[in-house]
Amino acid sequence: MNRKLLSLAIGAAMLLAAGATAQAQDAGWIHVRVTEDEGTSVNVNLPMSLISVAMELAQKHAFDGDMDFGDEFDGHVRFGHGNDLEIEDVRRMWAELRDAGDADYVQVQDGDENVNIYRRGDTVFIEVDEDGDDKVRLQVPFSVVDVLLEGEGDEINLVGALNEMAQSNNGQILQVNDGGTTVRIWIDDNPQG
Amino acid sequence: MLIKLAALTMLPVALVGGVVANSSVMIVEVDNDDVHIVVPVPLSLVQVAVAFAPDEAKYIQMDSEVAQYLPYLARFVDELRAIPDDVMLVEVIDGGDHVRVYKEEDVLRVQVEERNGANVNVRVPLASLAAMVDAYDKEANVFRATRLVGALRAAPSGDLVHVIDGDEEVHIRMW
Repeated sequence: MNRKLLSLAIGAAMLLAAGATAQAQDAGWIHVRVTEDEGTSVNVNLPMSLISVAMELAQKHAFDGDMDFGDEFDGHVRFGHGNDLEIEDVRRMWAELRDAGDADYVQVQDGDENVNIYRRGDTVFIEVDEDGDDKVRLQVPFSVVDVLLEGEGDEINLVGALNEMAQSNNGQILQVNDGGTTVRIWIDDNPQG
Repeated sequence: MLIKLAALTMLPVALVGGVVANSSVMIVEVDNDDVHIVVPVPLSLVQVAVAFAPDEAKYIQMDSEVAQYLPYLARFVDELRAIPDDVMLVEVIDGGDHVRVYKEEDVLRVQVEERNGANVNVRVPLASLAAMVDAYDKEANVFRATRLVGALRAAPSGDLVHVIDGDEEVHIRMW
């Protein structure tokens, strides 16, 4: 099993869930399912409110410097200056991409690995294939990126983007198929998923 | 006169007996091929003893780095208490290994079963965790030992920790 992929998926889930938390305090559970052909499975069901506390703790100790979640995590993340890419630059790029219509943004071919990022209609598709197998399939509606980048200055709206993602994709956040391994992350109101 | 003397002599014993009778008793049991140890710890008695102990034992100085996590622990406990019972929070199945974390009544349960037969069962009473956080005196930056013992007394009867690993077995339970 690709441990890096799994770690990334779970890490992303935690970050995404934390983002979704501030606006979903009353209800909402994030679910992570990892299954492998050889029988290994991971099943995580956590209430958003619990992850919110964990994220506040993380913000206090893990993100000193590059990222600032503020004193009370409200779903907005502020990036420090001096990074290679400033948020304002990303906003400008996004505005240009938005006006450009359907296009292939990124195509990388590296041996048997292909990465494609392209736009069709109002959706950005991110696809990673390896050895002819589907690896990562992520569809990001335009509205999600719009909401993500609507913050002020160096701030992005992580909460809003997650909520938009959950609504746009029926709560589905991420699905990864890696050979015999499947990772699925989603949000709903059912504690057991 | 002899009766009065006998009564006076028996008074401390009676007091201790009364305290123990009303006490939660923590029983620590270690069992392996060589030894079998059972240590009953009457918590009320410990609480009384701590009250008469020197200040260094009564007030446990806290590292400020650690202390700043306590409010988060309190909130974790609050959130855990709000979770409905029997929701499987985490379950990992890997070959013959099985890890489960779930909440049952006011207790967080962690169960680990390994393919080699080892078993770990931990019951974390959330009331005890909450009481532990309350035992912290923020102004003085100390834990009050009597209240820490009180936190243990808040644990419900039954197993707290039960570990079986080969021929070794450790059992901590409240009675």
